[in-house]
Order: sequence, then C-alpha cells, then structure tokens
Amino acid sequence: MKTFNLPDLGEGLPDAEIVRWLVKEGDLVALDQPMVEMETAKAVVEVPSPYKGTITKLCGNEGDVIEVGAVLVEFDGDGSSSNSTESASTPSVAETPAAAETKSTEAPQPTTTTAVATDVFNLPDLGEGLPDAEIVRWLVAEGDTLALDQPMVEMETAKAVVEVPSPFAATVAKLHGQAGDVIEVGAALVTFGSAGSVAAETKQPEPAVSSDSDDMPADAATVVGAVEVGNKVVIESASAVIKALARKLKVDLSQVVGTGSNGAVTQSDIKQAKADGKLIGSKPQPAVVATSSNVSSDENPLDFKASPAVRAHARRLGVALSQCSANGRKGTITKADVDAAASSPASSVASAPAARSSTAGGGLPTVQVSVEPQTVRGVRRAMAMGMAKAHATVVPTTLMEDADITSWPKQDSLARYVRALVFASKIEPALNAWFDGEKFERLVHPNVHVGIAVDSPDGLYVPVIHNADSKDANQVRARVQELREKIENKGLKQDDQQGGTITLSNFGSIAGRYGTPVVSPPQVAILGTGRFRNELKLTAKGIENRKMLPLSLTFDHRACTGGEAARFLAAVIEDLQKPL
Amino acid sequence: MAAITLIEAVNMAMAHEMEHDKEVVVFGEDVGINGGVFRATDGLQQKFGEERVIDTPLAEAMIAGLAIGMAAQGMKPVAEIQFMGFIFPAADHIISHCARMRNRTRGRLTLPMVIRAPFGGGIHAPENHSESTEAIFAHIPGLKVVIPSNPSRAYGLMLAAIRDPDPVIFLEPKRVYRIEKHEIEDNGEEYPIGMCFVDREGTDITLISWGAMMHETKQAAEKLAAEGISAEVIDVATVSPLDIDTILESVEKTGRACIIQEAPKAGAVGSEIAAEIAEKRVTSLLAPIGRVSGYDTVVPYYRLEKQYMPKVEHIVEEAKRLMEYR
Amino acid sequence: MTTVARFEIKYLQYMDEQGTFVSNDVPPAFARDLDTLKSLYRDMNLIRVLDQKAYALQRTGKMGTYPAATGQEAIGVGFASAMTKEDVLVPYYRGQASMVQHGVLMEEVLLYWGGYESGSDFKHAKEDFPIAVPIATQSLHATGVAKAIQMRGEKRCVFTEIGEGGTSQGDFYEALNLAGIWNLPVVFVINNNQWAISVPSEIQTNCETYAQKAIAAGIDCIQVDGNDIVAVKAASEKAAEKARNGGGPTLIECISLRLCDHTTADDATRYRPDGELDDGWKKEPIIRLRKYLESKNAWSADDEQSMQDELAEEVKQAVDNYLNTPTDPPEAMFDYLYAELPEKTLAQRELAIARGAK
Repeated sequence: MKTFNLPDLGEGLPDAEIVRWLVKEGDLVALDQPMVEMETAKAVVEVPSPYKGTITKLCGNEGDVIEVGAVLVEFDGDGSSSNSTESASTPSVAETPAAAETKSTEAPQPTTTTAVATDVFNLPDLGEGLPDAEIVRWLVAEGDTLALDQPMVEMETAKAVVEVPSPFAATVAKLHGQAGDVIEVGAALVTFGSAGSVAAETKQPEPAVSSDSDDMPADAATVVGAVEVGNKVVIESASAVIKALARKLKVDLSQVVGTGSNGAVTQSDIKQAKADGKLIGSKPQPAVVATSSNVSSDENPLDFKASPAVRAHARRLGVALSQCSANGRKGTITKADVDAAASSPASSVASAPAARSSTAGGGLPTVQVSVEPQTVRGVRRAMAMGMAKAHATVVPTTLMEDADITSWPKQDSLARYVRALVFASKIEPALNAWFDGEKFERLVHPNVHVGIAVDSPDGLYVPVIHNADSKDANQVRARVQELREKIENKGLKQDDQQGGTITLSNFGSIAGRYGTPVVSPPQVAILGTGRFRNELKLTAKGIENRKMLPLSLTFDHRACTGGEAARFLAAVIEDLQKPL
Repeated sequence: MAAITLIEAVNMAMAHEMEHDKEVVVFGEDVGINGGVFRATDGLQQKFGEERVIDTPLAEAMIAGLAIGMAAQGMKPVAEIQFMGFIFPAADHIISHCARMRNRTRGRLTLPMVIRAPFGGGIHAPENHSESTEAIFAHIPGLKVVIPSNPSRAYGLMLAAIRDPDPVIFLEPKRVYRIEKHEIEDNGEEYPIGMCFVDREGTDITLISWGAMMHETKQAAEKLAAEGISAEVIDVATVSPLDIDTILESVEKTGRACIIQEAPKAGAVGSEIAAEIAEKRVTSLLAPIGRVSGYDTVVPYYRLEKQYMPKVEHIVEEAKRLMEYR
Repeated sequence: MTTVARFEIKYLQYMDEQGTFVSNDVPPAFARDLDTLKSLYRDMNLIRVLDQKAYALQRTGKMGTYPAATGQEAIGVGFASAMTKEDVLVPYYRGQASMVQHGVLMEEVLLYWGGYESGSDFKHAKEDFPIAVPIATQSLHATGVAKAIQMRGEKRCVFTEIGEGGTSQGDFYEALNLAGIWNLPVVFVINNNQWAISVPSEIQTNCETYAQKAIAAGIDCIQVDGNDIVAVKAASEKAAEKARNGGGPTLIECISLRLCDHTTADDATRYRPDGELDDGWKKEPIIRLRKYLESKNAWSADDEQSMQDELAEEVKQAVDNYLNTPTDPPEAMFDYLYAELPEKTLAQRELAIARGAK
C-alpha cells in the first residue's frame, strides 16, 4: 500500500484547498494523470476540459460574469437548459484557517476518463476569493468533441488553478478528504493499493455549504500574493483617539464635558474645550538630573550594580547604595533593597551629627543617669550596624600563632603585614575572597585589596589599599599615609573604603597580643597583628631572646576550611619571618 | 454606518474628501477603471470622473513629480505608488523636493499632497512587494509618515493627511487590509496626525508598535495579561514626526518598554524611539529597552516569510524577559 | 515592409552670426520693432553683466558656486520674453536668464547661490518654481503645474528649461510622455550649449537632434539657433500661444555654445578643444544683435556705453543688496520645515538658537 501526501504546491502556503477531484475511488489512473485541482495564487487561466466528451451547451456569452458553482459547460446533453446549478459563495483565500469564516466550496465533479451523459461541469472557484469570473473567450463551440484536458474557455480572475498529477500508475484506494477540505502540506492525500486495504469509506464527496457568514465576502483583490480576508467586525473604541487629540491640543480632559452618547467625549467636545481655554498647565518635564538628597554623593556609583530607576529611587529616598544589600540577580540592588535600607534608620555614611533626641519610644533608659543618650550616627553607627550584621551571618573561627621576627631590621611593619597578606593570598587564595551566604556564591579575587582598620576620634575607619599585590613597600606606605591624612582631614571618600578583599587589624600598635577580630562580610578573613614582645625561646641552639609578633587570623568558616586558613596563616608567617 | 475593512476605509476617506473639496485629485497606476490593484480607489472614477481620478503612465518618478507641480498650484493630489517596493524612483522627488519645497521657498510654495502606498509583508508576494522601509522617509525632515493600523484609523488619518498642508507619506499595511472590519460613520471626522494612540492601559510594561504588527502586539498583551502582566499598548500611528511625549509618559509609568516592528532592526523607527526613551527617561527604566523586529536581512521570498515576521510568542517572550530583568 | 511613421525636424534661424536676417520666413512682427529688439538686447546684456559680477564675487570669496549662462543669454531671455506674468516658469539650475526676465530679482538669484535660506522666496514671481538642482526633476514638476492649469481651464502655460545633458535623465522622458498623452500646456526648452560639464553633446545621445526626443512622446518640436534671439522668441511665442489655447506641449531645442565654465568650480580648459572658444565668441547672441542694430543705425557706441553704465549700476544695486543681507539666524533652519514645527523639534530649535548666540 502506498500513500501520496500533499506536496508543497509552491507559494509557500501551508495547505491548499481541494477544488475538485479529477478521479474517484476505484479509478485506475495513469502516471501523471491529473487527479485533483488545488487552489493557490496566480493569474488568468485556461480551464481545461475535464472530459473526453461532446459539449452540448455553453452556458454564457463572452463578457458574461459567471458565479462560482454555476454551470459553465454541458457535455453530451440534449442542448436544453441545465439542471440544478450549485451557487455557493466563494471560499476565502486558502491561507490560514483563521480566515475560514467564509469558507465554502462548490460541488465537486468526480471525473472519469470516459464521457458520461449529461455531465454538467460547473465553474470552479478560480482563486482570489472572487465570487465569479468573466468569460473572456470561448475556445470551443457547441458540437465540438473534446479531448481530456483540452482548453475550453479563458476565464479571467487573478489566480491560477493548479493540477496535481498522479505519481503512480496505480489504483486509487482512498481519497483523504472531500472537496472543500483543507489539507496540510505533508498530510496524506491519496492512498494507492487494493481497494480492500483501507477501511471502506467510499461516500461520495458532498458539497459543503458556507458555514458562517451570509454576506458575500469582500473582494480580496490583490495583484500579487494573497491578502487574508476576515469578516470579523471589531468594535473600535474611540477613547484612544480622543485622548490623543486632547494631548495634541493641550486640553485638560478633566474639564471636558462629554456630549456624545452616554456622555462620551467627542472630538467636537475637545475642540470646544480648546476654544474655551480649558488647557492643561505646562507640565514640567522630569529632569534627567538626579534629585537632591541628603546622601553623600561621594560613593562611586559604578561600585554598585543597580538600574537607573533603582538609583533614582535611592536618591529620592536619600539612601546610599552602599547601605543597601544587593538581592537582585548577579548582585544587583533592587528597588526592594532600597526600600529596606530606607526603612532602617539613617542610611547615610557621613552625615552631620544630629541633634540630641529624646528617647520617647525605646532607647536607653535615662533613669538615674545624669547625661542624655546621644544618637549614634556616622562612623560609629556604621560600625554598630556592620558588626551586628557580621555577627548575624559570619561563622568566625580564629587561629593564633606567632611569627619570629628577630631577623627584622628596622622597617615599616605595616607594609610587611600587607605584603604578607599578598603573599599568603597567592598561596591560599581561599581567604582572599567574598562570600554570599544567601546565594551561596563565592568570589575568589585575583587581586588583593587590603582593608586597614584605622582608629580615629570619629571611630573606626577601614580604608583600603587597592591592588596591594602590585604595590611595593614604598607605594604601600604612601597609600597608607595618604589614607591617614584623608581621615584626619575628613576627606576620606567612599572609593577609599570600598572593595576590600581582606582586612588587617593592627591593634598591636596600641596593645593586645591575640584577639578575635571580626570578619567584615562579604570578606572571609581578617588578620589581627598584636604587639611585638621579646621572649626567651627554647631553640636548637639553646635559650634565645627572640622577638615575636602575635598573629590572630579569624576566618568565616562558612567559606573557608580550617586547612585553608591554616595554610594561609603558615604562609603569612613564612613571609613575615623573612628579614626583608 | 458601514462595517468596512481598512482598504475600504481608505477608499471612503478619499471619496469623502473628493466630495467636499474640489481640489482633491487622485492618480496613479491602475487607479481609475481598475479601482487600484487592491481596490483602494474602487468606484472613485465612476463617481468623480476621469478628470479627477486618473490612470497615469507607468512611471513612479513622474507620479511624484506631477504631484509636486499640482500641489504647488494649490491642488491636493493624492498619488498612489502601487507598492512601497516601487517608491524608490520617486524617492528623489520625495526627498529632494517634497520635503524641502516649503523650506526652500520660505513658505511661498507649499505642497499639500499625499503619496500613499501599500507596504509591509505577509501576503506571500513576489520579491519587492513586502518592504517595510518607513524608516527611510521617517529620517527625512519635512515629511510626515503616517501608518494606520485599523480601518477607523485609516479613515480618520487619511482625511487628516489630505487636509494636511504638508506632504504626507501614507503607508498602508497591506497584510491587514481586509483582516477585520470596523463600523465607521462617513462623517468626515479626521484623526490627529502626529499623535500616538494608547490602545490599552497597563502598569508593568509599555508595548509600542504601528501598522500590521499592532495586531500581534495586542494579542501579546492579552497573553501577558493571562500571566498577570499588565501591558500598556501604544499605536504610534505617525512615525514621523514622532509623538515621543506619549511614549515617555507611558514608560515613566511602567518602567519597561518594548518596541515591536516588522522592519529590519538596524536604523529603524524603533531605534529612534529607543534612543529617545534612553535619553529622556533613563531614570525610569527598570530594564533595558526591548526591540522585537524583523531581521537585518533582505525580506525573504515568501517561503520564509513566516520565519521573518515577528510573532506573538516573540513579543511575549521579550516582554517577559524584560519583566524578569533585575 | 511598409513605413508606419516618419519624422522630420525643422530648424529655425532668422538672424545669422553677422546679424543679417537670412531666413526665407518672414520675421515676426516684434523683429521689425527696433525698440523691442533694443529691449531684448539690453536684457541679454544684463544677464551677461550679472554673470560676470557673480563670478567676481565667487572668486573673491563672497559667493558660492555659480553657474553662468555666458553665450546662452538669448535662450532664457528669448523664451521668457514670450511669457506673460501669469505663465509659470519652472527653471533648471542655469536659469537666471529666464528667471530675471520673468520677474525674479537679480539679488534673489545671488542670495540662492550665496547660500541664503531666502533665495527662493521670490518677491514678484510668486508661482515660479525655485532653481532645481536635481537634474531634470523640474520637467516633471512643470507637467504638474500644467496639469493644474489644464484642470482649471486657465488660459496660461508653463515654460521649463533643461540642458541637453539633462535630457538623458528618465524624468525628462517621463515628462515629455505625460505632456504628450495628456496634451499639457507646457513648453519644454532645451538649452543645448553643447557641453554637459565636460561631456560634449555628440556623446550625450545618438539622436541627430535633441528636439526629436519629442517624436518619441508624440509632441511637436523644433530646433532653433539658440543664439538668434529672434528665432528663440518667435518659436516660444508660437508654442506659448498654442499651449494657452489648449493646443498642447512643444519641445524647443535651442542650439548655443557654453562660453564659460560649467560653474565657477569647473575649469573647461581641461577638456575644451583649442579654438572652440575663439570661434564661439564670434557667433554669440549679443554681438550679432548689436551688429543688426548697428546696421539699422539704431545703436551707437554712446548707446552702448550708457547702457553698460546703467547695467553696471543695476547689477551693483543687486549685489549691494545681496552683500548687505544679514546671514539668516539659526532658527531659519526650522521655521519653514512644516506649517507647524513638531514639538519634538522645538527643543532642537532652542538649542540651535542658544548655540548660535555664542
């Protein structure tokens, strides 16, 4: 059993409508014998005779317009007027099913290769959705005997009728569809083989009648291609146009009284309103410039990822981006983050100290205290907030050890500490990283930006030596000096405090041996360097006076393993123990 | 009141104006007896005579040049170029003269003329019949480029175009010539040229389009609504001069913009709209400005046409991407 | 085979290079009126002086590129003198002879080439078209004007000029064709000055004459000696009368020689054969008419001198007006773009003004 699927007939259309069958079930067809006429899109055509037979009547004169479905030619009849004619309205363009509201067909004529007495041949739909076609000229005359496929008449439309030839010399077992059916390209069209191989369904194709609209479909004229036709009537709301006109004439719609049906505002109403001077006040354009805020604009906006709208929102609310958590994708600050930061008390980093405020609701108790509590602001407040946040998230573990710096000549210890951190970061990068405990993201930095805890009258600053890994000792010293001066002059910028990857707390310069310094998220480590001390140590050479530098390395155990931390510490010690 | 298609609306507008203004003359190729290859001028010659509805010889430069001469004399020619793909011989006259005559003569000679052409793809036509090159003319100062998206707008905007004291290039999206009908009263009421129409109000994202793509855009808005996304839909209608204020106002409200156009992406009208939004409302934007457009290729032969034209799902996809952008 | 169509092209000349009336045809009435001839003589000289002055201005940095009509004055003056005030002129870019003849002010011509926005805002010639730079586009505009005149049943016509090079453009053929089939009241004048920049007319077309391009459009045509102002004016008057009375279009080819460079930016010595100029100056239109007037004792050396003095003064007035015209303010770029400048562009206008004020 062989199946013949509907091929692409050209025009790239996904389907084609069966106009009429050229064969019927049971017919023995020859190879290339035309089987069916399918409707696509083209120009003036000749309509070939479907029969080998004798024409008895031509049903129309040149110049007559014939309705689709109406009788065109009679064969082997008695010459009198034809019997029942089908007059169905035309199918629409065979493009998409959506356009099928006016779909209909004419009665298909089963054709055979032998003449049948009084076989009435009705005009098929010749394309373009036109309901009729005009006879241009007859090519035959009454009394002529015609051969199969012989041209009979020229009919003028804007489309062509295409014949589909049989691919086999075989018997047709089944026709998959009736005239009027829409077949998709690639779907089965004809099955060949013995008649019994297919379930018997040999009903005669029946004419389908127009389903939806009673109206004649619109003329779908086009000189090329195919224009989809739809008969759906859409109610168009005029309000969009009325509003546009009001905008154009600068009329204040709120002042317009509608005189249309149901109080609708009409164009005349708008024009009248203009004449009456009911105009909108000139609307100031929102400036692209940032709105004023009480936020220090010293922070570098590029250090934060946020869309322009979010930034504008932050500015409007007086929130510094540095105070916002970044809960958006890929670490961006969202509008919600800004809102959250705004609702937490004071989000500015360096704002003027506020006046004393009483603690009417909550706050420190004032009973039996002779002084008023001061609201903690600025750097101290930032410290309080930052430390609290660290405590809430970081899982701190501190390793302590001493470095033997007996071999050190006089030198800047701070620069050595920074160098040691750089050295150790190369050996164990895991501690020179950022960690996000909510997203479980870790960013191991290729460069080392060392935050240095600096004590000042205002409180704790942690400015950053950026790219410490590419600085030599002099440069480190210079940068530290610069930072100190800035702090003293209160000229420290946000830039200077951003981006640290690891922190150094040299509390030993004041006092303290070991400590448990606090990791500042998103960093994962902080090195505390304690006070030098001389100590008698037992060595292989005996008891010696050694100079010891105590070290305390706190790391965030969510992000680093003990092994990583220990290796890091060992590297720090290794570097510190070099004389220079 | 008749329920009519877009092409019928164009016809009705021309007929109305010819009835009420003796200076209006219609001409072009096949517009007379044939009523136009799309039937845009159907019945006009029968009604107004050969003197006022004229079949010209086959020469587009001539059609444009003829219109210029007539308009300079105070007539109101409505010239048809049969397809936008054939407008290029006339482009010299359109760009070098139509756009400039008022400026050149300091208002002494002005050209109240309309050149109308079917444009855009989607009808399985041969090569050169599917162009969406409105950007070429939108780029020329001194011209107005108007694109109706439905029958009511075709009627109202055509009236306005004929009445406009300056040259209007009126581009009719042929794919939707007959796709739906509107009840339109032939009352001569024009629609404003130079304004956008807000067809659907929304709060989450602004969808901006014109011409045939308005149909896909509206469908996309429906689909988005079903997913809880409220889209505002704007029909630009006049792509030049652009009513950018309406678009800016909308983006300020929604924070997201997506432009949908059939035309190739580069250097299109959508590019101008996007640049204006970025320039003037960058602080309103919650997401980058999206563009759903044709590819930067020659419009393919009709077999690939459906691959080329933006689809409803592409619009929905892009809108959702912008909604999810953080 | 049978012949289904033939054509013949007639050539018209009344006055030869020596200023002698040679034609067998009776000269038209105006040619027998010495005052008219003197007036035409003066008009041609005016253009000559204007062109020379314009060149001088350009060479001294006070004018942009300028296309002189030296040696071709009889064409523009001749055909425009056949026009009434109501007729409409649609010139090409070398049209100052016809434009000034038809009422455009000399300073308006200078303002256009001098880069002013207002150059085409003619004070008097209200319906005339401005100078057309895109080649041959004016031919089609002329058909449009003619169509409007025809539709309104007015008794006037349109004259439009084009160089022989311009007749190679598609627009020219489209215009002739349309004028022919619609019987439009338009007269097409070809200034065949034999050079299209550096391209000689022999290699511009395979036709023996340019006039015969009218045959392809089915319209009347004639070739005239373009340096014989009597012939030019006579042919033009006939064509104008015909057009005004519904007789349809005519194509008049006027043969002349370009005695100047294409424009001030051109150097014809690069391509012009030796001797052509010398030869050409002997045949030029002004000389021959002067010879004729002198032969009638109607023109003396004193007449010449006083005319030249007057013309110099007239041209000087125009040049002074031109030189004293202030440069347009920046908003001039915006103020005639549309009937109403779109809001979107208003901001740019303000910006231009602000920048211009610095």
